[in-house]
Amino acid sequence: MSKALIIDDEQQMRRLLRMVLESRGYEVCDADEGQRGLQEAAFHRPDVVLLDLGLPGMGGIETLKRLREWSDVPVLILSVRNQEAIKVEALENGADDYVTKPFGSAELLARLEVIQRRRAPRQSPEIVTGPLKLDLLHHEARLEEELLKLTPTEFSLLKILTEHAGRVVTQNQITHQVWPSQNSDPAEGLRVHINHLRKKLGTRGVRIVNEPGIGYRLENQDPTA
Amino acid sequence: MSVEAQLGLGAALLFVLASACWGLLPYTGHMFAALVFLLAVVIAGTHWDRGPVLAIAVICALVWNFLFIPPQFTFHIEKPADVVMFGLFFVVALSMGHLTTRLREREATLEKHHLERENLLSEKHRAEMAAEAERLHRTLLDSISHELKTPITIIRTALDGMDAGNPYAVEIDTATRRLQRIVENLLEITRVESDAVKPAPDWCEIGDALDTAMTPLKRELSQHTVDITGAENLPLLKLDSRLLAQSLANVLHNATLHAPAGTHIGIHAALGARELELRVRDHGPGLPRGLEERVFEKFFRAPGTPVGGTGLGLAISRGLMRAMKGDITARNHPDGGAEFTLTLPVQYRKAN
Repeated sequence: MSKALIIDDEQQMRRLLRMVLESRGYEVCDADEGQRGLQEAAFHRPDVVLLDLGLPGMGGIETLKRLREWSDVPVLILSVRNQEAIKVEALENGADDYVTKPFGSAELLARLEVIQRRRAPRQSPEIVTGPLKLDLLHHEARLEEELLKLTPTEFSLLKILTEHAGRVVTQNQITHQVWPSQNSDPAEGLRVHINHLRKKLGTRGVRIVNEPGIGYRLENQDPTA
Repeated sequence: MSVEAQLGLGAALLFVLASACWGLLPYTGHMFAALVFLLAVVIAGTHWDRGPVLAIAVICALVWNFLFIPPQFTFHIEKPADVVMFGLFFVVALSMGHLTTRLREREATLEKHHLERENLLSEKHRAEMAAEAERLHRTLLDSISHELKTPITIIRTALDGMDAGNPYAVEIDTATRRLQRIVENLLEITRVESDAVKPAPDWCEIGDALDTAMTPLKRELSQHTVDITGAENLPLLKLDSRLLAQSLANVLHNATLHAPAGTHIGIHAALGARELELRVRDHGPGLPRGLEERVFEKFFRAPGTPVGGTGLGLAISRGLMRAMKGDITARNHPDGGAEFTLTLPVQYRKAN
């Protein structure tokens, strides 16, 4: 059974999230502000944290930074629209993904599941998401068993997206990993490679979705896989 | 006072003083006149410009020589002591005139600097005030936004927990979505009108912007068939994809409200020399004749408008497009239906 920690200053929101999570078998603890949230996290060792960005006092970002000093528990950000810069800041400070208020509980649960999956230790050179298989040993990518002809850049781009399958990856995170030595603004190059990669992936079950102002998310369109 | 006026007034003053000294000459001697003239030069120096003051100093010296220094009525000076006196008078009058005017000029410069500094300070103060007001405004907007959206989120999350088949739940769900749209539109129009919308152009694929616009309208658009043309082969464009998507989403939502279910909605993208053009055409009843421009007014509802809109969507679209230096216009398509055209200046490269 997974343990979830909710850090949100709205009591009703906490109560409701607790109901939703408990109905899915989560064990739930909560806190109404950052400092208490950190204490709860240290005490209960949750498997996943839901963190509201609009916390009073020590804000959401600060809470996240402090948490990341000693814990790598998956964190889902609860945010409102028009906060792209803050979402990016949260993601680049170690948050795993975000949902935008008002969100539906199906979306929330799906995101929670995805961000917890990443914690499983990786011991195989193969990453699989839906019909997409990446063989890191031979630097090969297969979609529906068919070998994709990718350039080295496209392969490492697809690798970072697949490693984060279902989760958003910020533009900076991608460029730092794919073009570690490049100083100039690589946004344009990134778009070009994404464009090529999309053409090679076609419409066969996986899709690279753009989140304006934030980054990209590799979506597996067959959720049962 | 003009230079001529200063000179005229100086001559008049000199005439009066010379006459007075002339009258007093038997009692005071010619040295008294010299001191009176010097005083006159000093006083002139504290009020007038350098040129006239120096001219007056020279005239004083000459008048003093001509009228008062014996022998009178000649420029000739008899006693060596008087020659020295005349020379001294000349020098003292000129330097007094020079010094007093310079003092005054320096005072004027200082005052000017002081004023400039004060202006600068008050300007800085004003800028700080404006920044503070903007910050406060944004904080207020964020806080209102938070206050309004939290209960809506709670209702929606709670609804998700209810039996989906419950007809009451369906009604609450529909109303909540409508409420959410109203709240979001009100917040957005406030942002647009207070210039809080700051475009952040970045390279993007137009397909991504269309996706972003259509995803939140999945429900509404499922009642229509959407044809997208022209977007496939466009190069990368530098624009604020999020704002364009938001603007387009409002136009699409407007189309789903007015066009009957089952009709086509066409989106056509075209790239000109410097601008992107997006045309959205529906096959509904079209715009009321003569009101094509008024649909962009806040809270304007065309007669016979179906419920579900907020009267703000198109006003927001226009506000967002204009914030990006673009625009949006509307017309009735010659073959029926409404057609909205979004134009936006964009940067792109020809290659690839």
